[in-house]
Amino acid sequence: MFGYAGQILKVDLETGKVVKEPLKDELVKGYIGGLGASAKILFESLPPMTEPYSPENVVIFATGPAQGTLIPGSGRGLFVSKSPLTNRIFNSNVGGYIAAELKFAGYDLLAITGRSSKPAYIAIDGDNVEIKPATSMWGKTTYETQAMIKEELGDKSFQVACIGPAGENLVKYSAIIHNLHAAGRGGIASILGWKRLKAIAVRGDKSIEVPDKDALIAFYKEIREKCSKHPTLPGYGTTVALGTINKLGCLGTRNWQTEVFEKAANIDGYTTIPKYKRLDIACTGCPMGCGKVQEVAEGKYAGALAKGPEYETLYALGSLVGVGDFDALVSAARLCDEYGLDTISTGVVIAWAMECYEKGILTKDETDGLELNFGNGDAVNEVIKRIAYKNGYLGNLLARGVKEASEIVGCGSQYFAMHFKGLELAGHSPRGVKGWTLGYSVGWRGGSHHDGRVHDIEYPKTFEERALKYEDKPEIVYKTVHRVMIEESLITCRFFGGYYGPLEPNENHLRILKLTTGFDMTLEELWRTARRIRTLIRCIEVRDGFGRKGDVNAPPLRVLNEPIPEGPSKGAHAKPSEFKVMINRLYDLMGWDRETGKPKSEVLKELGLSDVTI
Amino acid sequence: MAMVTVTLEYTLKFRSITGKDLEKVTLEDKTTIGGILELLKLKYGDIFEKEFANPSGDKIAGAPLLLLNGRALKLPEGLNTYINDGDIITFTYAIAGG
Repeated sequence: MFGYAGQILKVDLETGKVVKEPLKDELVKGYIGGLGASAKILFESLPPMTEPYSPENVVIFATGPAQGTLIPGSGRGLFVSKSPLTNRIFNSNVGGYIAAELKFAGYDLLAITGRSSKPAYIAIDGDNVEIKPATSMWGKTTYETQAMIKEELGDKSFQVACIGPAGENLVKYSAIIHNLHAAGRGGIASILGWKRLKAIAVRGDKSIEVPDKDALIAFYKEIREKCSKHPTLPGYGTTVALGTINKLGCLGTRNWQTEVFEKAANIDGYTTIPKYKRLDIACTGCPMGCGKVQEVAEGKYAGALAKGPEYETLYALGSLVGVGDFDALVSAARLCDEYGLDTISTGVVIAWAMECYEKGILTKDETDGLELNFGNGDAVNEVIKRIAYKNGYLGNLLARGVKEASEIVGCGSQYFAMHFKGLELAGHSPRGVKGWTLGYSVGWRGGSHHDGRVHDIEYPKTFEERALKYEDKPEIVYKTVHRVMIEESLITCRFFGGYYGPLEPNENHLRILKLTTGFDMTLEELWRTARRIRTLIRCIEVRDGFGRKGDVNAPPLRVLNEPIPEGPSKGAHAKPSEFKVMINRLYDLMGWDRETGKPKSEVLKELGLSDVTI
Repeated sequence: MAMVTVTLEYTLKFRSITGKDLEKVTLEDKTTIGGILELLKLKYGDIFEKEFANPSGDKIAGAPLLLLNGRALKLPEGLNTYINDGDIITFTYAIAGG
């Protein structure tokens, strides 16, 4: 079977049973791999309304046909499970080297069920798979853990993904860390923490066969040539996005009270890279090399070092909390990585707490003595520690995520709790980029910037087209959502969107599929596959009790009611009347019932999902 | 003839070519954005013309972005826009990734 390792590895932490099953032809033909294959498995294995923290919940680490081959941008894998933040199916994407390694070890997917009685980790050394004790590592940071496992296994070439104290303590937005990379979003690390699974370590020496090596090498060279001319990613990674988005007036600042940050230049990569960059890194076989490791050399945060910080982290731990001190920001990012916290959710939760504090909703008693004003970088660093260990009232409150925290605190703070469907809002403005209001709301994950993925094509547009026009957004979101379905199933990096995307499933995706698997799929079949995957995910959402109501109620009230107050995008916001029109139109395109949000029976039939009952 | 002063802001490749982040230029009233590109071509070479007036290659993967007071201009139509005193014109690239 070209492009695949050919096996699914199943590990039950309750019984200790390890099972290897052949990868079924119908799974890869109908769902490609990655997200598609995971959705199919989860649809069949998760009982309706499965509690995220339960033995029944499955955590899948998934690869697609691109992993372990020369496809540029294939150095990524997916953790898929039910999220404790959203109660919905969730995929969290991680870069680095472990996805290819899993395939080299002989497996396309790893599915973890049950709950261990003691801390454990899974060691996969090719055909040999063991559940090993991790008691000595429990409580250790992610960097300590990775080093300890490599030491214990006696080989640094093992690739390790692990959780930190935040995951162990069931912080709902804890992150899985691999090397310097993170599967950050959705809190799947806390599911692993609940299962008492500290880490996964993988080593393999098999190879992935492809149908035409010469054609794949030629493709690699073609894309590598394009990468060499890319104006931003090879030199700056995503770090310079901050400055550009700020210039457009779309940068979430001080909990989205405004979208212009006066200190953006301090933390933009354009300023920091020349001074702070220590290292360039790339995921497996990547010719783009967008990873920039920056380090603080002096001052009270000397020694703090983090990959990036990527744009999303610069937003969440910078402008959103009003911090223009880059040293403090790098330190905060480093703490999140060490404790295993999602930087986006962490920043959004802290920004909400800061607004509560400045409005008198949270007092100094409730912040356990902290002066939690916007711009206080020291406080941000301190709060991160308290969240990871759930220390004090504040740490316990914020560890729940912004949705739950705001429901506990009340006093109108839900109005500015910036999340969609329970997932804290990423750094792309739903007010300044109107397509994002729709993209986040109808996304299966909510506040993820990878569901609708409209900004790749919306930022270059004029203000009027980007922020005011709404009539064309349903068609755009319809296309980008299905592009994401394909790219998350092949698993290619979104940063190659300019070459493989950027808008909808297309000939480039067919080319990648053919080069890796040899499948001769038509564009029509590719589209149908994308629709099948999205529709099946929708069926899981519906089965879990989410339909139209969840989509319509998704936007934060600030997004719907408060225009951007200043700057180049002043006046932009998602008007409720426009939002309703956009949702209805998108439902029509998707083939979902306008009243319930359920996929229509004729659509299920067309996509070969007739046997699906919801 | 009335004159206007505008700020030209350069990032990334444009900074490398011009050797500066900002420059203020005073021009005749009724100058267009396209007219500024002509002047920049004379001063710094044809990079500005290649990226904004006659763009080629990838439009999406790091597309050139021309902002007038923080708002993207639609190209090529936007090149006919007249400048006003105090305008800020930014030469950059659309974000990629993030």
